[in-house]
Amino acid sequence: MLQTLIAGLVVLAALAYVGRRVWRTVLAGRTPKDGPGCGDDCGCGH
Amino acid sequence: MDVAEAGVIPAAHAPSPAPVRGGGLLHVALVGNPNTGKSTLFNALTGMRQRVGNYSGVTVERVEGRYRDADGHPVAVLDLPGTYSLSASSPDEEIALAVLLGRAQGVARPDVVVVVADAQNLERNLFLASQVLELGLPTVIALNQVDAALAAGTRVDPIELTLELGVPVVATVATKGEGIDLLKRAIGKAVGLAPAERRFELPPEAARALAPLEACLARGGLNPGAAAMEALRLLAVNQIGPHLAHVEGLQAAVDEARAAVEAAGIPPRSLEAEARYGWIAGVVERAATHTPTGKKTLTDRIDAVALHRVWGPLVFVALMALVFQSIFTWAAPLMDTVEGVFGALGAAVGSVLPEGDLQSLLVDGVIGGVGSVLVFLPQIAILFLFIGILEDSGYMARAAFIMDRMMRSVGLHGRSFIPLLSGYACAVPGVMSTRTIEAPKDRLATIMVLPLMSCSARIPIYTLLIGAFIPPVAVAGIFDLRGVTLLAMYLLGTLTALAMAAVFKKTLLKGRPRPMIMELPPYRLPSVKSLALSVGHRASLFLRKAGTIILSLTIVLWALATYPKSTAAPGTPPEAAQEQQLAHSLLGRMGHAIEPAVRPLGYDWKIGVGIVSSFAAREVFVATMGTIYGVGSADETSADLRDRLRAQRHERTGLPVYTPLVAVGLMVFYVYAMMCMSTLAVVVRETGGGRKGLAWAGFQFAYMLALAYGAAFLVYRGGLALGFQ
Repeated sequence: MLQTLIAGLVVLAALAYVGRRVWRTVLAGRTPKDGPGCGDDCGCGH
Repeated sequence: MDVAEAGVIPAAHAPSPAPVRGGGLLHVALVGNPNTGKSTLFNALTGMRQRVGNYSGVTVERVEGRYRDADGHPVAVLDLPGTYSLSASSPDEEIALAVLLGRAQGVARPDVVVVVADAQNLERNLFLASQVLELGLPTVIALNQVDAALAAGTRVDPIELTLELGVPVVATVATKGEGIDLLKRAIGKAVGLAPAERRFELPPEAARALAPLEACLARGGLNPGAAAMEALRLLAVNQIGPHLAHVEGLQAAVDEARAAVEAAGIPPRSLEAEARYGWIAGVVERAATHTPTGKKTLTDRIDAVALHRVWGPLVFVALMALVFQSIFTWAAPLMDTVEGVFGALGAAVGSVLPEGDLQSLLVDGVIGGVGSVLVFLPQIAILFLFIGILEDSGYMARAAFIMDRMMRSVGLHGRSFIPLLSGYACAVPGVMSTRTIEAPKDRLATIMVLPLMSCSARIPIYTLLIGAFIPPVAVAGIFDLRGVTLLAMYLLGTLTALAMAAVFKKTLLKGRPRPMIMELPPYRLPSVKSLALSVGHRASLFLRKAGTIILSLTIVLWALATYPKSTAAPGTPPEAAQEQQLAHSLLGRMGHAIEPAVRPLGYDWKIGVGIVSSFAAREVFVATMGTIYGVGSADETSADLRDRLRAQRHERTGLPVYTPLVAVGLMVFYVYAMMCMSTLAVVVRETGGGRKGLAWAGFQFAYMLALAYGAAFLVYRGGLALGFQ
């Protein structure tokens, strides 16, 4: 039961992170003058 | 060789004014032609580890760094995009000019401008310098690469140049850090200097004709020097630019000035070039001497082969084939080590934690998913090592030259090659670097095809499938079929990008291609430090990506593959029970819903789920496979995903899920499919943002997906018809 609870919390945290990243990416696309359009970890080097 | 030995006198000995400044932050802008060593000089000044390349146009984005001068005062250095002039006819030039005029949003007008001029190409470099001198800013000239100039027989006297230009000139060799301290001192002192000004005169008729235009610009807030520079520029390019959009009645004033200059019998377009180059010729004659060495340089000898009409392309393809082959041969032992580490880690965690959801999450989700992506770190590092060697040695510029002919044949501008080349690393900076392309239609066509270039995110997919299904057979005696297959994927993407560009240029984005002028830098031995930094930087980005978005998506996928749970009937074999659980899970249900769409391509529902999950980022496909086959595998301690893929069988027929034909079809799918959130976002932004940007990005996503599906279908069905498996 404890294992399931911890795993559930980890999954929720991961979901929140993915949601945040998607939202940031959408924002970057919507505002032409701000932000490089990619995150620190997109692999592009910028 | 130090600066004095190079035959030039350090500018510190030249007359310079007393320093006048307080302790505040000094803003310095670095401006110069491409290939002058500007980025290297920026690194030498700030110590910032910016990527240094030596082909034209590497600096596109705004890059800043800081240092403290000898008195401890902070200095902020802004590295402006490399540009041959301030004509503002490309987005890069526009940015540089706007910053120097104090009209760039969010950027302070610089207190001092440093013009980096290549001593080997003084005449061409002084064109930009002469424009900057007129902007009314304290200016310092960094006369760079004086050692290479001397080796080529050109000796430049910085004192004479100082007197000619009316601003301090400091001789530097940025690659060796020579002259940097002097340059810092000159920057500190320049802030107290009187602003630089125009050093030549226009024909009186032209000066009279331009006076009303200059007055109009002055009313718009420009100082007299900047107004004079802008007036001459507007006569030549007739492109006002956003930084002058606020000036009332400007277009009418430009038209009047143009008519008046023409009436005086002077061609308006060439007035600026003739006036500046006429003055520059005199400056160069007095400040520089050239003694032809008469010897063929090593660069000349190498270029005789590398740029040969026949040998050049052959050398290019052979080099690429060697690069891709070494990705497999060199990386194999390292990959085995990483696989072993993750296998042992999975076994250790599995034995320490009791059976349960957390154990499954860590072993199947985190270690199985992220581990299966991290295994490809050695291959990514090797690829970037080779790209770094090719860039830093100067060969990449030759590759651009060789490709230019092909680019023009499909209607693209030669400048499109460098963004396309960047696409091999990542489409995001590639799309951003299309800002160097002047013609909007050429730029749009380049953006539309750029994600077809195989980026580094595809490497894990290619190498996983090639490693599992393509045998290591010798080709032509020296090459390996695996390396050749990888090369074929890269070539397929590149050739399709060119073909699609030709289609776009003949339909949606019609327009004539423009010729490209590019500079070929001399060949240099790449610096080990620079290569190590470049590879280290790439590796750290990959690790960070694996540790953030890939890890998070893997955890989510694990949850989807684990819940809701099913109860197997007593006596069910473990493997069958796990398969039943997977099919019962949310992921299994989603996969079965997708299956009809992917079945014509020869894929089962698990591959379908992998494709859907990789819409966020391509590597997630591998992580998904790692998670799915981890959850569904009896042998959970094995980290070798390739073995698991080979062992997969269709539930009903018992035939292998993955055959070489399916693997090739899947790779072709990933060559074409646009599966990258970050790239889509940057395409939206770079194609105008808002609805217009969304429309272009949507179109790009749709055509690439259609291409991917169609090509994978053709490969699979065509292959079956031809008797392949």
